[in-house]
Amino acid sequence: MLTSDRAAASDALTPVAEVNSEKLATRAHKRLHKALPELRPGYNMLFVPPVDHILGCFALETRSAPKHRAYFCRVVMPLYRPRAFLVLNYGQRLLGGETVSLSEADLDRTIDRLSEAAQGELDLLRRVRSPKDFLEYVNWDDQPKSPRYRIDLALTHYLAGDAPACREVLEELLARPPNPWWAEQNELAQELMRELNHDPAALTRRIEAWEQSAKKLLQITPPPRRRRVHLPGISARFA
Amino acid sequence: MSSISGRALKRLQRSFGELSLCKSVLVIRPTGHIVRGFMFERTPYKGLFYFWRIVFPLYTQWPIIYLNYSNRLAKGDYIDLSDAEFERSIAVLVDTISSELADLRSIHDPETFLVRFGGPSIEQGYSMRMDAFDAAMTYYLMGKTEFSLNALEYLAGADLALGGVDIRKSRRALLHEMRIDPSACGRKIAELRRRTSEDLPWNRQC
Repeated sequence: MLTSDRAAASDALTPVAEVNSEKLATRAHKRLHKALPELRPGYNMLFVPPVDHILGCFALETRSAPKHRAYFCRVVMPLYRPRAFLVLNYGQRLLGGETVSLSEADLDRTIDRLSEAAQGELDLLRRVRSPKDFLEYVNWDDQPKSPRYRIDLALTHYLAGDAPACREVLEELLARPPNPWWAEQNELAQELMRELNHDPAALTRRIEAWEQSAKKLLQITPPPRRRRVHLPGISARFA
Repeated sequence: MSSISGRALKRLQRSFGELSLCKSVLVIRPTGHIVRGFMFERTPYKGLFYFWRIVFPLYTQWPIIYLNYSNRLAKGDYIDLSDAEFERSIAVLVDTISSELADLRSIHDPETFLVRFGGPSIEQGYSMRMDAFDAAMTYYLMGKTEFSLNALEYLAGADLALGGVDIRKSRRALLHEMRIDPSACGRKIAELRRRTSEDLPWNRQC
């Protein structure tokens, strides 16, 4: 395989199997949605509505799995991030980290397994709704101390109403010896700190813009409004 | 490999004794850590190909020929290997290869690889133009373990994006091992080289 695209190269672990597995995953997502109608379909995942700052969803991860198989993941992530893509930073692979078959012959059994696994996780996903819930849900001591994770933590504090804690995390990040590999993230941390101290409205606007962008890209939209149907002979009150 | 391009590669090899034909790649011998060579890329058009000069480290994590450090030759134009144009195209390619050989030969070890592709900050331990994992391994092979650890720390702190979870976790594991015993990186490089040699289209003699 030839590729000159870095992003593609970095994720193309099973390039030939990829196309088929993605299609099979889409079909499995649809079937799982039928089995669990309370979930809503987003982009390559099924999420627990309503979604405000925190996304809780289930996703089939095909790229790291063998051909026509997938890992089933519980994803919990903040939407107030600069880039909108599903990350397993705060989630985990379900079913003990085993893959499931997505092939037609096995699909019924697979959907049963996924459905059962998802049912067992729903309470947790329903509980983690707000930044405050998210703050408590994540064991931050076990997470990497890299800027990406620390900025998540800082903004979670901020949205949970604890600006001093947000400032403390950013200060610690900015006090570290500079690692040039993290230049972009350090710059972001500086901007966040400046906005936090001098222009909180700008920080709020930034967070809102990130969230709106994430919701659009991940197709987390509110449920469509029901059309008002006028049936002849039936009062609008009961329609 | 297309039989048309295969025939062309065999013809080209006859003109250059130092090149080995390893399946679909004409490789400059000897290959240390860095593969240098030439290959065709198919196009949707019968008989038309692109021609590449390729460079990449054998200690890559990707079991593919990736082109981050490679270039399309002939100004990116098609090479016509149809019967009518075959001989003329081979003559052009012989000239093209001749003009690239000295430069490719100069990229012969991790240090020359880093200098060529790493960008202006390599002395500070940062190679903005190079894949961070490649940079980490390259720095290690140059004896600059601290720089290698910095690059790995960056990778280990990256998001676990769906689709790349395993590879990202393996980088975290490597960083952890290297902090205890830096020679873990040497073992990782040996493992990657072994895998690359098995997966990619050449054998160790190339």
